[in-house]
Amino acid sequence: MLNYIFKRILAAIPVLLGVTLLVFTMLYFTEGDPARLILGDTAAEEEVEALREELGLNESFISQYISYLGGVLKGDLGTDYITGRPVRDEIMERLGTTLKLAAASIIFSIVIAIPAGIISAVRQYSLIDIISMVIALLGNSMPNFWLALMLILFFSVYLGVLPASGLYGLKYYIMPVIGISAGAVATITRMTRSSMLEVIRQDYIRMARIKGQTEFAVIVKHALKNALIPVITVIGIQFTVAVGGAVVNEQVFAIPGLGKFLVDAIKARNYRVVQGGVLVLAIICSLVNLFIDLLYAFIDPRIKNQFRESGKLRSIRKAREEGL
Amino acid sequence: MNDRNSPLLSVRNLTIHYITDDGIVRAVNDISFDLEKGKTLGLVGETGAGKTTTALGIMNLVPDPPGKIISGQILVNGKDILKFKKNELKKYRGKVASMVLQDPMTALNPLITVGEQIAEVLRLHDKLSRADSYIKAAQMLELVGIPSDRINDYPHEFSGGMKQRVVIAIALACNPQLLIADEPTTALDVTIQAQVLSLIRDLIKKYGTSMILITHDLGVVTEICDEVAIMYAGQIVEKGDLEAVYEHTGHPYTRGLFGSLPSLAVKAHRLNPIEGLMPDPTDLPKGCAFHPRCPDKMPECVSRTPVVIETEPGHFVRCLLYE
Amino acid sequence: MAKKKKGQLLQIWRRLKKNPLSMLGMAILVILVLTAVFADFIAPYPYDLQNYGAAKQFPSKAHPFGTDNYGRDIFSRVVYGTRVSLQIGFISLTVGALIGTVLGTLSGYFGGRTDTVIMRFTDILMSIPKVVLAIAVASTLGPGLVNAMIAVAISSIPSFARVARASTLTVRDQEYIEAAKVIGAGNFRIIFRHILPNILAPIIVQATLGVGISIILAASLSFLGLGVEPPTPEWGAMLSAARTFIRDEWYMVLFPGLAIMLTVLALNLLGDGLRDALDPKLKA
Repeated sequence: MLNYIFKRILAAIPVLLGVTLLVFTMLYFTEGDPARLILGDTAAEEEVEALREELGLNESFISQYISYLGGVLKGDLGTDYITGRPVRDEIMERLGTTLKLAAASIIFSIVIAIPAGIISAVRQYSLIDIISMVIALLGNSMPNFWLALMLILFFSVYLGVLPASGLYGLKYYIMPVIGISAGAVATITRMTRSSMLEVIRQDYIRMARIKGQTEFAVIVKHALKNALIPVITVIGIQFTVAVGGAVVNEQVFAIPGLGKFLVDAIKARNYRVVQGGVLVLAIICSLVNLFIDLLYAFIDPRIKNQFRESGKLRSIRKAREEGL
Repeated sequence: MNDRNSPLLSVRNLTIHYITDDGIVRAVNDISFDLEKGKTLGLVGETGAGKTTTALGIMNLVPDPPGKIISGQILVNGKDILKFKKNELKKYRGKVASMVLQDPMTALNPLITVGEQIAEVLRLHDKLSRADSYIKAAQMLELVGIPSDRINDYPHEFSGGMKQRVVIAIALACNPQLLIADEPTTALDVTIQAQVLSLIRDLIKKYGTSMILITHDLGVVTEICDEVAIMYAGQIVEKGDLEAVYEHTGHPYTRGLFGSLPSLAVKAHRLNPIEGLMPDPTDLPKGCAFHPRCPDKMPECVSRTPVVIETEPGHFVRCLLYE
Repeated sequence: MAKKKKGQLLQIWRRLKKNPLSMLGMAILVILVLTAVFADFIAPYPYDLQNYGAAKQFPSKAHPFGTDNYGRDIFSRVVYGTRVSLQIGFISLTVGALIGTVLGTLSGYFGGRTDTVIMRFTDILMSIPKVVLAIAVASTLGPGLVNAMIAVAISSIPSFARVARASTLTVRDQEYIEAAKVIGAGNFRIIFRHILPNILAPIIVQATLGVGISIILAASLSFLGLGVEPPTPEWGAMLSAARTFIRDEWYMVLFPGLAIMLTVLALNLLGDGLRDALDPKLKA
C-alpha cells in the first residue's frame, strides 16, 4: 500500500509541473506588452524597455519559465502591478472564500445525492426514483449561474428571505451553494444510482441474501461500499467542477473570492494575478484528486494489485467518463 | 417433528416466469419433485433449462421484477416457504437451506475479508459473539482445506478453487438441512473440479446434509447423487433413482444426453449430439417442448402435452411414448 | 461487413425509437436546429433593432418575451441566440472531439511512453476546472466568438481522450486487430479502418452529452464577459446584461436561461437514450 501511495504521489509531480508550464505558456502568449500595460500608453519607449529588462521579459521563454518556476517553488507568484502587492498575499486573502464555497457545495451534494441515488436504485422505477431522476436531468441541463439567478429571483426578489449578495454568514451560503452544486448533485445522484444498480445485480449480493441477511444489511453492508467506489472518483472530479462553479457564482453573488478576483484581473489584463490564480486553483484541484486516489488505498483492498482486476478498472474508467 | 418418510423438500407444480420487454420467459413450467433427508438429487439440463431459476425459487430469491412465481408450492419440512414472512425467510435462508453459486469469482464480496463473510452468517443464525464467530469461521476454513491464518485475507488474494471453498464454507457454516449447489465446479479449472466436488461430497456425508446438485454433466451426477432429474425447457422430463434413469433411460432427451457424453460414447466411436437448439423460452413449442428435436417424434407430440408417467416404481417420465 | 454495419445502425435506431424521452429530445433538437437555420424568418424583429421608446416592456403579444433595456425584442434575440449557441456548441465540440479522440486512440493503441505523455497531458488539463481553463484560454486569446470556441474546444479535449483511450484498450487486443496485423496492415490503417469505427459508439454518446456541456461552458464565459461580446445575441451574454435588471424585469433573465436549459436538456435526453441504445448492457 505504501508503494501505491508513493507511486501515486510521484505521478502527481509531473502533472503539477505541467500545470505551471501550461499556465505560464498561456499567459506568455497573451497579447500585449505587460511593461507597456504597467506603465500606461503615455510612458516613453525607453522607460518601457527598462522595465521590460527589469521584469526579465527580454529573456528567452525557457529562462523566463525557469525563473517563474523557481519563484513558484518558493511560494512567490510575482507582484500585482496594479496594487504593487505580492500576488500570493492577494490570492491567499481570497482563496479561503472560494474553497469554503466549493467545499460546502461538495458536502451539500454528497449529503443530498448519495442517499437519493441509493433510494432510487433500491426502489427503481418508484415515484422517488422518477422524481430524483427528473431533478438530476434538470440539474445537469441548467447553467449554474442561471439557476443562481432564478434563486435570487425567487428567494430574494419575490420572497425577500435570502440575501442576494455577499458572504457574511450561514444564510448567505444557501443560494450560492445550491447554485454551485446543482450539477454535482445531478451527476453524483445518477452515478450512485447506476453504480448501485450494477452492484445489487452481483452474485455476492445474492450470496448475502442466501445467508439470510436482512434487506437493510444487504444494502448497507454489502452493496453500499462497493457501489461508492466509482462514486468517489466522481466526487473528486465534481470538486474540480465545483471550484469552477464557485468562480462563476462569485460573480453572480458579488462574493469577493478568488474567482471574482481572477475574472476582474483578466479584464484589467493583470496577468500575474491570472497566472497565480489559475495555478493555485489547479494545484488545489490536483491535490484533492490525489487525496481521492489515496483514499482508495484505504477503502479497496484490491488496490494493492494496482487495479489489475478488470471489472474494477472498467467501473472506475466508466466513472471517470461519466463524470467528465 | 415430521415422521421419517415425509420429505425434507417437496416442490409442487412450481411455475416461474420472467416478465420482460421481449415477452414472457417461461423459465420453470409446472415442475414437481421431492427430496428426502440425507439424499442428493442431481438436477441436469442444458443452459437455460430452468435449473438455476428452480434453485432460486427454493431459496425464495427469484429476482422480482422481472421474475414472478406464478403458481405452486415449495414445502420445506412441510411448510410452504413461498408463504414465509420476512423474519421467517431470514431464519430459513442460510440456516435451513443454503446455496453455492456457480461463479466463485463473483460470489464473494470483494471488500470484506473471507473470515467476516463466514462469520457473518454464523452471527446471523447461531447467535455467536463476534469473537466466537471468528473462531468458528477459522474452523470452517480449515474444514474446507484453507489454512485458518488466511482468515483476514480478501477474496482477490485467493484462487478460483479456493474462493469456491470459501463459498462452500459460508453455505455450510450453519449446518443447513438443504444445500443447493448450482454448477459448483463449472467455472473452475478441470484439475480443481474433482477436488471441490469430493470436498462437497465428503462434507454433506459428514453432516447428513441433503443436496440438490445442479449440473449439466451426467458424469458428475454418478459420483455424488442418489437421484437424478432431467430438465428441459422448464420441465422435468425424467426423474428417478440413478440406476433407473441410467440403466432404463426413458425419455428421448435423456437418451440424447447420454449419446453426447464422451465416456459413454466410446463404443459408438463418435458422439451423437442432440440435433437443434433449446427452444426460445419466450416462445415454447406447442405440445411436447422437445418435439422439434426429438428422434422419436410422433404426430400427436406436436399437439398434445405429455403428462408425467411412472414407468417403474420411482421412475417418472414425461413423454407420450409411454402414455 | 457493410451490410452488417447497416443492420446495426438500424437496430440502434429501433431501440432509440422505443425510448420516448430520447425521441422528445430529438424532436426538440430538430426544432432548435430549424430555428437556428430559419431565424431570419422566425424572429419578428432584427436582433439588434433598438427602440428606446419600447424599452423594458413586459411580455406581450407584440413582444412575447418582452424587450430589453435597449428596447430590443428578447424573443428575436433568443431565436438568433439559438444560432450562436448551437454554432459554438457544435463547432467547438467537433474540434475538441477530433483532437481528443485522436490523442486518446493513439494513447490506447501505442501504450507505453506515448500513453504516459498523452495521459499526463490530459491530467494537466483536467486538473484545471473547465471554466477556469476556458477563462485562461479566453484571456490569452481575448474575447470574441471564435476565441470562445477555441477555449471551449480545448477544455473538451480530455474527456474525449479518456473515452477514446478506454475504448481503444478494449478493442486493441481483439482478434480482428491481430488478424489485420498479421496480413501486414500498417498502424495508421489499423487505427483508421479497424479501431476508430469500433470505438465510435461511446464517442458519439460523449459527443451528444458534450455539446450540452460546451453550450453551458460558452454561456458561462459570455456571462463572465470573456466570451461572445454584445450586441451578438448569445444567451450567456444576454443573461450577463440582464442580471442588473433582475429586481424589476425578471423576464429578461428568465427566457435566455430557459433557452439554454431546453437545448441542453434535449441533448441530454438524446445522449442518455443513445447510450442505452448503443449498449443495452449498460441500461440500468
